Amino acid sequence: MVRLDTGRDSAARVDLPPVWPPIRLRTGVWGWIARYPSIALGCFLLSIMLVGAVFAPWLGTVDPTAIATVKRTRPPGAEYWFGSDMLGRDIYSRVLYGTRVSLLVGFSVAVVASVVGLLLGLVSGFVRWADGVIMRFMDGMMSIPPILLAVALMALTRGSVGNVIVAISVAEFPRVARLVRGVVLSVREQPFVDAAIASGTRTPVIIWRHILPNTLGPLIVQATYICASAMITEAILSFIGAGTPPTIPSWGNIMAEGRALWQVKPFVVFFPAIFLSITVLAVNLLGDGLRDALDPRGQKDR
Amino acid sequence: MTQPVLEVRDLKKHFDVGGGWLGKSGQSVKAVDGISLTLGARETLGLVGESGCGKSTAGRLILRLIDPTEGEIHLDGKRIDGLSRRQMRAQRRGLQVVFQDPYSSLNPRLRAVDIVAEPLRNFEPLSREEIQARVAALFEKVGLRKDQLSRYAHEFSGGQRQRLVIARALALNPKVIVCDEPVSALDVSVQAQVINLLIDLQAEFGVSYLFIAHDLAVVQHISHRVAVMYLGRIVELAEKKALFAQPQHPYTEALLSAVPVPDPSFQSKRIILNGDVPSPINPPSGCHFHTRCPIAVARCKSEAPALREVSDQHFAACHLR
Repeated sequence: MVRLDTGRDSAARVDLPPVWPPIRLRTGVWGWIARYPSIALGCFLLSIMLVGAVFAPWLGTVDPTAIATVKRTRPPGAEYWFGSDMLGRDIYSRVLYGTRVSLLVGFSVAVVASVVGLLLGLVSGFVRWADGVIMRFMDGMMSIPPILLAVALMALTRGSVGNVIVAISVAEFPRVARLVRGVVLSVREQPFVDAAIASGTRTPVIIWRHILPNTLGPLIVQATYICASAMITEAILSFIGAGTPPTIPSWGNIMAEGRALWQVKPFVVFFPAIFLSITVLAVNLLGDGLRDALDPRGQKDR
Repeated sequence: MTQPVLEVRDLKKHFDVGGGWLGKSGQSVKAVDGISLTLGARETLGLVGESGCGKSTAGRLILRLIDPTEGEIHLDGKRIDGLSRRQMRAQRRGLQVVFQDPYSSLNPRLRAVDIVAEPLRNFEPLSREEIQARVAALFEKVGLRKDQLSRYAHEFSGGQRQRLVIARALALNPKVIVCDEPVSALDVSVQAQVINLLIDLQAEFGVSYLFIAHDLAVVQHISHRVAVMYLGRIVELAEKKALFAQPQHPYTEALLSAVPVPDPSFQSKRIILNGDVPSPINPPSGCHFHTRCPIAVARCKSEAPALREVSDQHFAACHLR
């Protein structure tokens, strides 16, 4: 006969190992990291890059444009941590200063493209007659590959970081507009929007209070991907000489200058490429993490 | 009856069907095809019919969430069907709504107090404290606690959410509340609570309900009069007792015979209708119901019956009654 263990004859009880390890509820910073590992890792890598960019002058760098023709293409060592390029410039300094350009372009494009795209998307989703006009225009813009469009726009102006930001933003915002329009179209059909109309709420207030907050989740996620893609596009533009002017070091033009020597002096290309890859990876990790965290359906068990 | 608070005359809504070149095919769904009804003060008019008969569309038309193709809507003696968005906004004080799904009719990003305060903020120049006090009073009226004021919608159960929706609809003390299937998303025990709440609030605030539903038991419980819709038209409109006791239209008869009776010895005389509801794009000629009507005659095919008074305050649209 099976007897229920009431605890009285505990001496006879065998100490069995627990069926599953006790659940430790982690709170605070570590709990947060455990719940959103990709956001944590993305933020960590990005903040390292950010520190490098902001404090570049104090991190053992020399003038990134100082030419020393007798010390050309030195391999990485004590004097040149990442080696020196064909003009004897310190690659470590150039890569670190190049971080500034990449992050600036990435973040600026993400902000500019999101804001422009958000406004166009809201108008398009809400004003019926404008929808056709705006969306056909966006379709037209999207039929041109973004990099070609950016190259074409750069060809019209002179190379500067500001122009690069504008060119890449123009190439990216149609995607945001289309995304926001889609979200607006689905949110505006929700009964709570009808209820707000029936409550006598004015259209601008409905957009501000009921529509906009519900588009921010997907928009933030999209913005991180735009940030990553803008960094790559900036590097491509600089690589083909259509982006940042050669006087300002950027990962793209460092790689472009090292291109001719990559078989014999691979470090010239290697270091900026590694930095670009890590930064883009970090931004993408952040975006993936945010997508999961902001999607209420995918809410993980706490 | 004194002047009705809501009067609808020959209301029509035809949706163009997409397809064809440039999105016009020349065909249209006749979702609402000429309905007329009145709603008196402190009255509940049940609007019943099966899915797709146009009852929800009728509610949305009356709320001016969509524009009617034809017809007139009078709210408290004022014609509101031709008003612009701006003009209509002023009239919305008197006309509020409770939707079916209490989950999607509350913005997930707002606190309960802000949801209920929204109509107040739109119409009344009140201070923060006054709004807070008004909302707290409304919470009490609908059976919610004051400590729930700052919660988000997802922290409430389905029944509580519907109470929130009702509090929002009551905030401006409207004349008419359009209830679009307000309880069909709730489970049965909660349905009863919400229905009784609506009845109590009607006694207290003197509001009229246009109660759209497909559940006949619920409609029988809450309504004073009932209108039955079939394929965009009202086929019968009568006092609740008369309609349930002596249905005049064959469609109403069939509908009522489908209601289960909680009596094992009851001999069901269920009228089984053949076929499906015809497409509202190409509704049958004459009486829309003639294709499924057990008593149809040749005249039903050619001539659409008008809604006429068959006995005192009992209207039916049938040639044979």
